[in-house]
Amino acid sequence: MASSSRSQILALYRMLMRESNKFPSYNFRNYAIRRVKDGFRENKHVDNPKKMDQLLSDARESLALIRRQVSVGKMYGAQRTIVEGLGSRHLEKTPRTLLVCERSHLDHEDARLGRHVEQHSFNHQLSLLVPGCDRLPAELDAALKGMRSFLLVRDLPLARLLEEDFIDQAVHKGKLVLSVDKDTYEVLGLEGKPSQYQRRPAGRYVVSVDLKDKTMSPGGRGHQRVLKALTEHTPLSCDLLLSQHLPGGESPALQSLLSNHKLSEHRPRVSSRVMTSLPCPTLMTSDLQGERQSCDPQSFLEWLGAVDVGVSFEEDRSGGYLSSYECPQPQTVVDAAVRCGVSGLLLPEDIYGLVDVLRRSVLEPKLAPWLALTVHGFQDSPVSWGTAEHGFLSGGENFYTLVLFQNLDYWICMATGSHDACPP
Amino acid sequence: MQPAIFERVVVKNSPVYQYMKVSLVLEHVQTKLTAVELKHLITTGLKSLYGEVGAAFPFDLLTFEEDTLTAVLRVYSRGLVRLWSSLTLLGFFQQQRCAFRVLQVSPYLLSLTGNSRDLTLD
Amino acid sequence: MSLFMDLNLSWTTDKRRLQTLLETAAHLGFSTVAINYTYEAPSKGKKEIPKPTPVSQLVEQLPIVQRHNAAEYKAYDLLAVQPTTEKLFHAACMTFDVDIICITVTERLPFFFKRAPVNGARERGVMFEVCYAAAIRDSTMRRYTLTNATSLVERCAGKNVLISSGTDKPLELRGPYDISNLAQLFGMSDVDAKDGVSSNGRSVLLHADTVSMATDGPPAAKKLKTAATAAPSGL
Repeated sequence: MASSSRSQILALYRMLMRESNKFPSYNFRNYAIRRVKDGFRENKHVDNPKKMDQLLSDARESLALIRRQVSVGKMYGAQRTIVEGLGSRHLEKTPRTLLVCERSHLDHEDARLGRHVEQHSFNHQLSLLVPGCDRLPAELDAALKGMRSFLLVRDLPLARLLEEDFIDQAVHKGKLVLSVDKDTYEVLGLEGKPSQYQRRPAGRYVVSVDLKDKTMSPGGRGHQRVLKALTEHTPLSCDLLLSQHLPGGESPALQSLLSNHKLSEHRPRVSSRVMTSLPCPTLMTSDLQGERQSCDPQSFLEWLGAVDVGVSFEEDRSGGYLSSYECPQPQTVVDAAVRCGVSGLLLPEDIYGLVDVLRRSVLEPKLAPWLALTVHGFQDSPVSWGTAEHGFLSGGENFYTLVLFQNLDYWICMATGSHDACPP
Repeated sequence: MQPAIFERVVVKNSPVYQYMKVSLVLEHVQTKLTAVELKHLITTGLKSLYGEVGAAFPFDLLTFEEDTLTAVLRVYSRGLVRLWSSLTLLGFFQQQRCAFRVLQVSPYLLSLTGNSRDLTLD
Repeated sequence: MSLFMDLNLSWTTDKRRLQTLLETAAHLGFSTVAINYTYEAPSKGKKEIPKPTPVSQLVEQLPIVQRHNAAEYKAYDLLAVQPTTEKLFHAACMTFDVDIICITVTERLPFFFKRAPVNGARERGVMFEVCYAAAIRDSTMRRYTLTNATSLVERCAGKNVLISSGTDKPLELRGPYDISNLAQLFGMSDVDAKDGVSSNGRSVLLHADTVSMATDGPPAAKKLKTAATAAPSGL
């Protein structure tokens, strides 16, 4: 058999199978699939070119026939039969998820840790786990407690963010991204895109305004339009958490800018817990996929979560009736471990500062073979990494976990829920 | 010298487990419940809705707080819809009305402790 | 649309219970609810319809539900019917001026859903409603709920279905995500299921608004407060 015709035959076979699968009715569908398979198997040994051409053109006709019948069948729909069950297959599906894991070295030229941290802008919680020590080094402790405070503004009209003095003094670069529902979008009168995750019919729109664009300079055409939309068409206002990072260390201008509104300043809340005789999975820096004798990222993330929610790793008295979960093997039991959590509005700059401190701390020989830092983004944030759209289906998880090893290798695992783009 | 490593792995749609945070609300608030009773209640509900075959997937009760009746469950992804719907349709515990309030469902156990909707400020 | 709605909370005379019911619904994440007054028409003769205000003036009922010439229905924001015969179901789908058609979930379906009326209702923007509270109450009713809802979803391909509670007990209310998960058992896809507790409700409200606008001119911005269900029988 010539190889070209072999690939032709296979392509035809695949097409026939694909079309046959589209029959809405169970009986037709199964008959067609069976018939296609049998037909091809029957003539497997045909090597007469003439006969083969004949068979191929028959098959093409059948393909056209199946296509016609499928579209006829679709007009009438089909009752699902009892054989197919109550669609138990679709009951086993869960929304899609993505987990991206990267392994590199802090000083490696391709290491993108800085970018990952920087792009994940809106974080509300971080938790740090240090196994093998019962109190944190002073520098690390200070870094966790010294996270910058942030402002809560109640009922702030969004138009205030676009006024001249605010843009001048508080915005250096950036975009205003609004994720609005259809009704608001229609009266708002600003140009936006239908949400990637609710397209047909579009129920949600994303409006993105570049605040440092030329037309957006105060008094410019774009600026006028946005301001009008937010003051006259729909005076949107909401409670906002605000925080400002100034590279030069000048005093933040936010407080004085917003002094006419209901303001309150908050400190991030720090909590810490010491655990004793905690079984820890063994991690090998080079083994990101968990193929050799060490823990893979998925089970490691599960274990971290188990530590965070407070699963007891002791033998339970019910003899395994309640739970079959245990720490992944191989494991080592550490005498003590510190878990520290900070919650509030946490800026990526501060988190990057913390990573620097972690880098120095992990080099202390007696501390721990590795440290794990998990940073959670806001579930309802309109963006996750960079300006990638973020949605909420039944959960809006977007977080990353950084595992830092003593030789300055690191793993970063970025997890997203179902309405999210792939992390960078 | 720099060690030449850079590796990126993308894992799609592979959560083996799903995690649920649920709390049980009872008609008589003073009723106490142990973890074993709670697991038994859920298993019974699962069996009454799906029968022996349909309920034949394991789930774990990872934590249980007796004073708030809040629990964290772990279930195989393929069993999530079934477990969840049986929790939804569970209406009675020992002749008194009850309701499971599903607080959060996630494919990552870590996000059960990192829910920004629970964020409280000082 | 991510606003969650439960368009069928049963009205009770007990005001405190109604309040706890509303509080529970709000706590579970519903931002819009409708309170349902049920009226069952007798097979012969006339019976009075309750008015949405608890202290009610009594009015007479017309043989067939028609919104525009029945002043008493104007007091309600939404009008739902629960047809008991095939003929009525057909009429409700094709001609009646209603917003919602309730599907019986407490007994065996008295008739089959035919494609024509279901499609007709979909074109007119009338929604079908399935109530889930009966399924929590009792296992026989659970069976009926599942079978009836499944055959409905089969017919209308999961579109135009509302899932509501239909209860007056706070402990029989469930959260919006619970319901959209439950709706997957009826054969709905996860997107349709979420629509069933959110955007379909919005369409019904808009539908009701358009109908009343056509009959009495544009409505003032109003808050949804009441809904009525009539179950005409034996025509």
